[in-house]
Amino acid sequence: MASKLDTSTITIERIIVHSIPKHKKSDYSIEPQYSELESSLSDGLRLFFKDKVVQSLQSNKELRVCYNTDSISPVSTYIKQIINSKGVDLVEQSKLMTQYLYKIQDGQNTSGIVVVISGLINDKNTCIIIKLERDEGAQLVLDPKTNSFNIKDVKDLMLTRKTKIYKVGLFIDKSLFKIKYDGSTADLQIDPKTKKVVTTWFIEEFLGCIPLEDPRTTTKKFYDYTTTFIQAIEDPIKKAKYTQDLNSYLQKNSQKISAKEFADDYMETSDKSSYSNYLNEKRFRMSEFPKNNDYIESKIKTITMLFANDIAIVGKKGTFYKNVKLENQHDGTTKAEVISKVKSIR
Amino acid sequence: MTNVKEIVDLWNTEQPKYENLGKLVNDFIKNKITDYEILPEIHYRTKELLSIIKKVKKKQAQKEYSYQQLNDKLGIRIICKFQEELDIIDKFLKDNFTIKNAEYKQESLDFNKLDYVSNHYDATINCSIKEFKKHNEFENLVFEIQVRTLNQHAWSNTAHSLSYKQETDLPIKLKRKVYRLLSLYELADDEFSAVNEALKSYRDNPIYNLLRKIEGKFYKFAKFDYDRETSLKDINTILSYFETDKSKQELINNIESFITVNKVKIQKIYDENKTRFHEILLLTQPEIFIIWYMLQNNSFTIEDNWQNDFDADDLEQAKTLWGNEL
Repeated sequence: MASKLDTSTITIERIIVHSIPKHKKSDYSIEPQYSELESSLSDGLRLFFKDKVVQSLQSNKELRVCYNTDSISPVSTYIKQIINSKGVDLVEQSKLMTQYLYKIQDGQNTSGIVVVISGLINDKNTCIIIKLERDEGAQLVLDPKTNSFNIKDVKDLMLTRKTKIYKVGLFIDKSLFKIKYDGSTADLQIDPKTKKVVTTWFIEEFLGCIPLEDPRTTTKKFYDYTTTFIQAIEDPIKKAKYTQDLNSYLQKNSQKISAKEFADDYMETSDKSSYSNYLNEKRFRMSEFPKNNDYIESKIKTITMLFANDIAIVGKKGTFYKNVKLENQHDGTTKAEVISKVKSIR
Repeated sequence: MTNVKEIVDLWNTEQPKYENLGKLVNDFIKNKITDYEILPEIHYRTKELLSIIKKVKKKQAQKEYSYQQLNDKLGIRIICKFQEELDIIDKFLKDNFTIKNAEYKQESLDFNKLDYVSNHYDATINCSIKEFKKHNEFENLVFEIQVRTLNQHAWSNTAHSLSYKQETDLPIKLKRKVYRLLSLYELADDEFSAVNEALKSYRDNPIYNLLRKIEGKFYKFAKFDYDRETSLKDINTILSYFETDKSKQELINNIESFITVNKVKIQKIYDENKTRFHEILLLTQPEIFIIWYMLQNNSFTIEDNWQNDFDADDLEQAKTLWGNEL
């Protein structure tokens, strides 16, 4: 039986920080700065970073991923080595990871901090990678005695909001958990302009991972389950509204979607709870996934409302609700009003 | 004859040892008794030298008696809220200490007698218990544990102030007054217990019902008391978020099993965060269990309404502590 990965059980045991400068493509004149030693960790720092990791991997944000066997990224090898060595090889492997990140990073990526953690989740070894973007001027200083960065300085930068957790990946040995995915990632990038490129880049290029399930399948499942749930709602007006909402949501300009976000943006609280329970029964998660409408494109183009008297109104999804005014009547029927010019009759 | 000098010398040597034992036993009881979902007051004291001399002298006047026979050189007092907790504490003491002698004063009283009632135990530490294993030096030191309810304690203190003893020769009128008072303390204990039991199953008031269900569990994990007024207010507000009585009742019915199923997780959260309770005040109130229950089972209900009444950061903190499944 598969074991659960519960983020509340995370224990941070070892942590190391490396720094990557901003550099132009193919210009490697400015080298990354590596820590030669792990940072010493007080209980307070342990809890601080645990909190940050848990917050980043919250249920509506994280994405289950698998190592892509076709990827040229060597990062999965470094991660496995850290996990298998129970963190003993953290310094060496995290340096290799940082070096690879530096190599593939081009001028579009700002200077950053790489924090690599070795620890436990559900009492089993885990490796957590955090990539932080830092503001201009927010510099880390190498301690000349240890030739290493101090993790406390990273905490201070985070608290003064000169940087924030930006990307997180938590990995485990899936065979020990009897699960099908190697880890979970979260991308807290907010800027919609660069979202698509950066998301793909971190998970695919750097970590060498792909989502656990084909996004086309996940998107179709989301559409099918949500539609079934909406169809079971008795109130025809609400049913029409949610159908229209689902359509709008799937067509909005966003690379990632989630059932949680859909419910939050469109549903009444009582419906959200039933929706959540329904998806739970279907084992469909509320968390984010990359959207791909390929399998449902034809279904989301039109919306058809069929009345008991065999009259049907067919409209384009996305504009249906705006153009058809619906009103529940006391006798249980629904009044639909369309005000427009007649274009054709077939 | 009492050899006072001998007693002084002996006590000067032994007192620090008894003091250390007192601290050890006091800390042990405070830490462990909450596993039984109660939070009694616990105190300890080593006897004053003068009291020791006086007591030995007094006993010697009646029979052969020595300093070594004195079993209350260290006294531990446990004061609980309700009578039914006396049995729980009795079990706790028998499970964790070596009891040389137990005296249940209530049992030794005739039906028509009223007097100070409490349970007294002559005990030593049980070195097979993990926390006592390294303290062999205390293994043979006998100490006394007194267990009483708040009302028994109040009576005992008042009687002490009045210098009252059962056997004192007082005018019948005055004696009657004392008896009437004493009966009130016994009645109060019975009535408090009855009310406590009734509140536990008082379905008409879900707030009380819920609080009584989670209070003991809270003691178990937090090991300290909480602000009742805040809890009653918070629970009232949180319960108002439910749109149907059905899901509210589900919470009330399932909260205890939720806590039991997640006890390892909850213990870890409390252990891990004990240095920062002051930063996470929700952890110091039993309603945190209700919040975690809802985050797991009614997440939208709590997330959609929380900000109207509480600080959004507090819910975020509760969510972070609880974590999620990846």
